[in-house]
Amino acid sequence: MIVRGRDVRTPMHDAADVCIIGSGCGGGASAKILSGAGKKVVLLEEGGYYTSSDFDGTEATAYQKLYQRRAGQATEDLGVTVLQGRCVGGSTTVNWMTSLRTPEFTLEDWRRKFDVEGLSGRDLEPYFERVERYLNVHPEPEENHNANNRIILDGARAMGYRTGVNGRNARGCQKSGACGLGCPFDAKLSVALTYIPDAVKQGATLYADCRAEKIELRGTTKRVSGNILDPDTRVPTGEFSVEAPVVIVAASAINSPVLLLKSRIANSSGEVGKNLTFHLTTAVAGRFDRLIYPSGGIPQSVYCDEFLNSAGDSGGFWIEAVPVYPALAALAFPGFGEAHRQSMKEFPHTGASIVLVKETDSSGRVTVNDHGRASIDYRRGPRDVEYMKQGVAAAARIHFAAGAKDVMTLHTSPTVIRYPGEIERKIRGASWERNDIALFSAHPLGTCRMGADARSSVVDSRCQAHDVPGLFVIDGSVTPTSLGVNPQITLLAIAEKSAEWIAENFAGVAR
Amino acid sequence: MNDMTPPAPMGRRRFLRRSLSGAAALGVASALVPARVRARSRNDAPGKLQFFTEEEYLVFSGAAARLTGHYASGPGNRVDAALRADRFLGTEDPEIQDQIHLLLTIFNSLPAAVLLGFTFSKFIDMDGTAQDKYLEGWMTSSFAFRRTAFQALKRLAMSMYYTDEGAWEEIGYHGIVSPGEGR
Repeated sequence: MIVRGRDVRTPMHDAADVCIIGSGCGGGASAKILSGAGKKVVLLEEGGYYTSSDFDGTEATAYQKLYQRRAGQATEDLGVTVLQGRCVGGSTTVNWMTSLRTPEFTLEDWRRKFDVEGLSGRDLEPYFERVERYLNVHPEPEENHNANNRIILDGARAMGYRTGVNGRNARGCQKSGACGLGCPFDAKLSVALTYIPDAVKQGATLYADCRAEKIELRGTTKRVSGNILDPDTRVPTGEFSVEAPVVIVAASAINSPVLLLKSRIANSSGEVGKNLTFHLTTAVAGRFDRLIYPSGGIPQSVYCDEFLNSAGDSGGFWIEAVPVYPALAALAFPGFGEAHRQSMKEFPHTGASIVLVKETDSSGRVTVNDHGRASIDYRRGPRDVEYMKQGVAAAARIHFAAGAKDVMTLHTSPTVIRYPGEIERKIRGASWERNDIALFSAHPLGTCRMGADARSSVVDSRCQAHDVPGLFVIDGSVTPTSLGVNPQITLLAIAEKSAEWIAENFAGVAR
Repeated sequence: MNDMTPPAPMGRRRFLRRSLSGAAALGVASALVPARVRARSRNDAPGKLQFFTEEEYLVFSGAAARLTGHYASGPGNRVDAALRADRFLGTEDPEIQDQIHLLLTIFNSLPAAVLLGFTFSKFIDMDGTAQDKYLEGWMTSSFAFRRTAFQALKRLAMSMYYTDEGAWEEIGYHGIVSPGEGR
């Protein structure tokens, strides 16, 4: 059963074997596994429940309904825009479907530096396979790459850089380019269209528009309480509480630590909210004589991984295509006024690629502000700034090799590179201080990190809080490091594995 | 060339908190808004604003015009970004609303113009060229809080302008591609 906020009778009280907070990768997959194991599952989702009929393919509608803070979520200094879904299905409702397994070197880092157990490539292999089969993850054939992805494929190949074709969780894709705005064709096999309906069929109850505000420990039972929100205004209209012996916090790397901090639990290590990684992202935009139309077609189907972990330090960068929608482009394009307007007029002939840095010496922190909401801070380290410069330079070379007339970085003061010989000078000469270049993150991770040592981590290798038996964090919060790739397959696999362990080790009580 | 070096940069909240004493003074200054400006507010601001005061509407409208390059009397100005921002901000969290009010007060204050922009006009009273120069000063300032404030204005202006379908024709955007067309 799925209950929208306006249909919830207030005050609402419920009981379950497992209460799950958040319905994205972690929450959705956990709900399916646990309900399938016969547990009574209640899912709470702060965002609304929307279907394809609600998706009109416009940024105005999508940002309003589907994104955290209406796509305006950012670090306190506005230096990094942090894009996350806020709806049933979480970020899988608005992501670009890139489905990649966790790199082996990342998993090895977790084992070596944090004593994480049971999450080696071999351990996760059956989960990766199961998730990929369930979501119909498949690479696109050569002819399906749009002009924007072809820039990377052709440019990188011309430069001799390694490229790959990523899997996508779609069936019957219409190549509309609307993935980031909610798929109007139900072709994206998001958590909202897969795990959630299956969990509901197995008896799970999902309450949408219900924002958890606090978790209280009452002996072996836990009480989750919060506000029911008006679906349109997000103003609280009532209160709810759910009691359960097992609570899974799956509200994302931004909001899970906020909930734990407000509840004053699971933080004997003092690590809750710390160790935030962003997979820090910037972009280059190349202008071409030929038509690119960067918002159309399959948004993300190829990547260049030549420079990821190439120095053996688990860092480096990765290059992917990015669909360009008008408002997002306008935010990112440099400068303002007439020059900015002229850049926008070149939209159909603009190709864009993102550079995603797997952090080595950058880190952030999520705290709770005076209004009880997330406050995000982030500091870039010198090595990662250097990787970002190298990444922008590599992306610029790729664009020129693919035929770009010129290439623009996202520096606030416009930086236009007119020929390849200018790349190094222009990039080294630009300012990389905060707010001097547009930065983004769609992959915030790490704020309740996993590890064997309760003094330096929040959860163990099964995602259970060191401090609180029966309290789990199963979402992007738990990864001990940045992944280096888009996270949805990693998070789904970890969620399925952890939920299986919960099903085997916690008896139900709510009957 | 990185963010690891102290001191910690000033975030929005700290910037605003530290600006409160200045804001109090600016509040006094705003009581001295020239009658000329008030008259223009009454004439030009649309009725029934939900979030902005009339003066705030005019300040943001002016800033949005300069930022987007769509000036009030110019061609292609089919979107009232300020009015859209008014409706958008009217449903924002109270903390964001407070910050935007404060930001616009400071941005348009004479003390800020004198101290930070070395000009003796408030933003709203400047001509277009001076407004561009003033915005450029905020964008490239060595003070992190001014760059943050600029980003806030730019984000709001650009998102309000370009999420409106009226802005799309000029840039050749036709919405999402119909099924099967996407290549």
